[in-house]
Amino acid sequence: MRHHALAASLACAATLLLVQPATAQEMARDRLIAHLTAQAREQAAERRAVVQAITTPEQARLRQVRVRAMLAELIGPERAAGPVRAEVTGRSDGDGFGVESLWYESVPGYRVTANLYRPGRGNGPFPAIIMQPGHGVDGKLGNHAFAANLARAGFIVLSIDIVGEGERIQHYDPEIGASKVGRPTGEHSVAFGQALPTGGHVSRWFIQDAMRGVDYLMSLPEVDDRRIGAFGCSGGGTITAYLAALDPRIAATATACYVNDYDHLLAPGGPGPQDAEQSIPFFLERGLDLPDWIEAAAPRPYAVVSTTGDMFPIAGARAAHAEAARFYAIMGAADRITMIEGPGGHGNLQPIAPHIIGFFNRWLRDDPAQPAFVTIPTGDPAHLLATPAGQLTTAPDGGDTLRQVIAREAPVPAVASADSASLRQAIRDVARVHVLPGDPAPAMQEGAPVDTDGLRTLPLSFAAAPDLAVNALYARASGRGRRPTLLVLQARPQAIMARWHAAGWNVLALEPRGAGGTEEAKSPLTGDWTLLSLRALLVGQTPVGMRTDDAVAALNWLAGRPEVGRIEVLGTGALAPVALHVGVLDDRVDGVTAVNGILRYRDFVERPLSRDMAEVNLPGVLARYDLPDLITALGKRVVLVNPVSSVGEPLRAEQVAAILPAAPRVIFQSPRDPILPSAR
Amino acid sequence: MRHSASPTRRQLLGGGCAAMIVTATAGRAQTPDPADPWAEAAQIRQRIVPPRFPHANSFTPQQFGGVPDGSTLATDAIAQAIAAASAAPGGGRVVVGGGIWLTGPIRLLSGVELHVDRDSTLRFSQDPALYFPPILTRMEGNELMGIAPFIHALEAENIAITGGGVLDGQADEQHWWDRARRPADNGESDGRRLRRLAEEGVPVAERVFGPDTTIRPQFIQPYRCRNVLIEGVTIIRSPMWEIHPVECENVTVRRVTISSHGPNNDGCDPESCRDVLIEDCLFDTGDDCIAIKSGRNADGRRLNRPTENVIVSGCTMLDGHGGVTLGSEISGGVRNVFVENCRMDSPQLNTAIRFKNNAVRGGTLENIHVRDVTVGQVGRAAITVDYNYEEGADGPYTPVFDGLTVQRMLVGRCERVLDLQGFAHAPIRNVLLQDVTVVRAAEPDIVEHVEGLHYANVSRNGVAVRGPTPGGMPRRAGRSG
Repeated sequence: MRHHALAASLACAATLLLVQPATAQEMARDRLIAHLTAQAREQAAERRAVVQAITTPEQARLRQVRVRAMLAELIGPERAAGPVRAEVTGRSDGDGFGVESLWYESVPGYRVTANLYRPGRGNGPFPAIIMQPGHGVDGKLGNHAFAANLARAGFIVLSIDIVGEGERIQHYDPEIGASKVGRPTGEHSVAFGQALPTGGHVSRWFIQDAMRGVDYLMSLPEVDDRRIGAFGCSGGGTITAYLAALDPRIAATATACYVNDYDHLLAPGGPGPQDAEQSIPFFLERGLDLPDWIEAAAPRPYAVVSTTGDMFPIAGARAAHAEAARFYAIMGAADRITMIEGPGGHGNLQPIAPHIIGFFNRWLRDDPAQPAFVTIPTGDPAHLLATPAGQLTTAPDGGDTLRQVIAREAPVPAVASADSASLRQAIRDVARVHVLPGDPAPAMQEGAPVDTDGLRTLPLSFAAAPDLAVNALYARASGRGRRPTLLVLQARPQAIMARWHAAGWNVLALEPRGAGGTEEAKSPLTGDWTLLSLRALLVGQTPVGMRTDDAVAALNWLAGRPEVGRIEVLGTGALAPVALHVGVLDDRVDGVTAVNGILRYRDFVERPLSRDMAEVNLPGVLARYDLPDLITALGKRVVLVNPVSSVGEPLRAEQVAAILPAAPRVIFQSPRDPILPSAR
Repeated sequence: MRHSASPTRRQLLGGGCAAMIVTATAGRAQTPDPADPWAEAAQIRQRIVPPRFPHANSFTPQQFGGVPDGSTLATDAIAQAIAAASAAPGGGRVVVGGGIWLTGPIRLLSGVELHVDRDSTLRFSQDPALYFPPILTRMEGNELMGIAPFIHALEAENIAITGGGVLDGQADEQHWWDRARRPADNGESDGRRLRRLAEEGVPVAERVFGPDTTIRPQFIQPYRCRNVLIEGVTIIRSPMWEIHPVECENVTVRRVTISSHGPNNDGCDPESCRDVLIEDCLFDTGDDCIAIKSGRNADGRRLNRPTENVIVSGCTMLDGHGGVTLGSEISGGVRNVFVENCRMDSPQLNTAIRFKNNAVRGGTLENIHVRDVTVGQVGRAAITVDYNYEEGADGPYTPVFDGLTVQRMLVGRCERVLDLQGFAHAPIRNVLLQDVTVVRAAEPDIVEHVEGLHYANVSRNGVAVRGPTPGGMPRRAGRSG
């Protein structure tokens, strides 16, 4: 019920906007967040009804089958298998345990660094646990004490570095001795952006790393292969949950400070979407939510571990546990799921460590003991490293980077069909464009005219959805009869509006959906759409698609205006690819000007690093088309002004020519030069 | 994308050796490098191209009066939509969406893609009467005029079943599966009768099994079709085999999830087919996950069509008798089968790679290659070649098995590594295990009448071994492996 109230209040807000001057309006970003959140709540509620309707073990089993099929579709799992190529590079001993440093290959040529902890006593075979760290720069080192405690309790523990952490920093810069991207969440956001256009989700490699870790454990004769558990906290809890759901060899699972549900995460005041590998495009749209990860592992033993002061709300963790516990009970396994709650903030596991170790003792060692947690200092981390200098990227034989693996597996499509119908279909499928050229014009609300520096503009607003207002400014050309008309897609349109209006054009400037405001950027390189794009993708929308919808809706309005003659679209920066999409989709567009736009999604995959991918990126686009295909389809209708690389730097003529064999019209000019209609 | 993972493999494929081969095969452009059988797989893969359908020609059962309410029978509406799509220029799509559709058998026509939307289910009626009059079909390697498969096609070109939706066979212990266990009324079960008629050479037109039959319908059976695509669907509760292409060419089965635990619930059984790709599928089945076949006994020899050029890639096998099985209905022979990048794991999975044959079936199995496979645990042998399946040596025909390579296989736990049982007069020939790690094998191997068994970099229970571990006592395997 709550989201209906929310929607209603938003609808009121939308009406108010029309009569308010632009400065007092709620930011477009806030409006978009509210809209996407309402959509998320609706999708989560639909899913909840589906899960609540399950009452028999067979229904539960069929739900697992469906969830597994959807996860495979959304993630696109890696497939490399067989004996694990690995090397132990060092050994050391602690009090009651021994440690090996090692690397193993996850996919051919791509390495995971890890530590293997062994119990100091006994002959085995020992039950084993694969352990994964949260988002810490030091990766597996952060798990040293916990892994050592588990080893002392009688487990073999494979404690791995998650990619982007520990010895697996992908963008490690030897000159600064750290990642040039930033913290692990930033590294993951970059990897997400690199992987997104190839289809599926970046978590496929995280999962593969873990599954190959289980292959490695299973390969050790001293491991009891039928008693392998999985444990991780925070980001490590995420991949632990993924692993348990997808690898039936995981016999017992504890995920700490991760389990929640999207109602609580995305709610106003909540933490919002989690990190890139934790947010799977279309997850909510397909009727999935985080508890599905637990339910997919039923009836195998599971512990939901949470702390009451976590930024991931404890109420969400409890709700997820409650739902999963019901699911386990339906499968006749009520005793196999438990919730371990502890005090304190995110990752504060020490007070509840005996319960966690006790959980694994119970299910993997048939032992009720809950041994006290012993403080074990790490000491000089060098003895735990698998590479000479602590990084795979600087090691002489460190193997490929994740980005290289992504590039190797990126789809290489046949030349996109010149047939415009199938290219348009591909755009609608990939960018999730819903508004069609020729749909009824949106009801446009007009505000009072505003005069600024001699330009009279009319504030407009239409409802892109019942709870989402899109604002615009319209400057109508003076004089009678039909005039050429420009639809401007850019953040600060005033200068363009003034110039083109002076040249006799009608100009409609559309406020880019989600513009303004800011959210946490995971890295200075990923831009302030990092989290907003995740929120959109979760519910089945893309930034480019939403903005294309708005533009086509605006064109549907313009097309009915008596003063509108030929129509052109101009998009700048992140809106340049939107303008290209609009031009291909809508025959009413006579010309497209793309200013400071990227030319190729494939560059996200092939360049070592790209900037601000989130605002323009499209899931799976490379299997269907790329921007050069749109430019080719537009032919003489398109002009490119100062195209840029995926880092945002200007491209030279020969670089553009190499990317665009079709040789469209390209204008190179100073950034200070105005963009005028005569440029066409 | 793939690196050679071990020096051994590099030695085998690389360097001067390859140069010599190039010289030897100069002028025979089509011949793949014999040192790397997987070059042939790459050629096959390139050849397999799924059909495409114009999205503009889209039809729905609703247009023909169908209602997706789960209770109104939509057989006719779906048939009319299929006819309309087939008649459209270049073919078309039938989009099954909007809810739960109850239907009888569906016949696909040339040029038609049956697309089951993600949120929709195609539910097949439990009323056997709907699946008659009898049509040409095949049951466990024998042709008959019998119960229509749920989705079938005969001599069609360019057909597909796609979408993220569910195909629900509604089989359970009271419907369809009970027929497998029903005792025969007159001393001869329908299955036995069919096998007898086939052996007696009774023309197929006279092998009629009417509505009182206990023979169960196959789920999806394209018969003598070209250019077949089955993609994305989830198949549950199947009466019999799930995907059974017969005498088809250019078949792609990808991203299909199959979960069905009834009797004879094989996942995907290409029979007498050429150029088949099974990719990124998940199998959780009551019988073999994948079983490659080519007709049973006299029927197999009469039709005389081998299955050839099959690629199985990126599949996950959970429960089932065999992960990838060849046989037992292989009287027409099977050759050129490539299995890679698969995961197989379940205590309910009996063997990973299995070949079943006997002296009644005959048939030739040759040129089979497996690489990059992780087997968590299997209940019995990891690799089984068994001539003693069912009738065993009691028959006049000579099974031939020649050429199996298994490279880079990791097995966590199995009863034994090998169970190879040939005949004295028909030995199993040329089996290579290379870079294979078996971590926990409980029993010694069974190796009887095998010629040319080679080990290269094989480890068993932590010890490097140069050949099989003798001592296993041969015994006849049951149907389940």
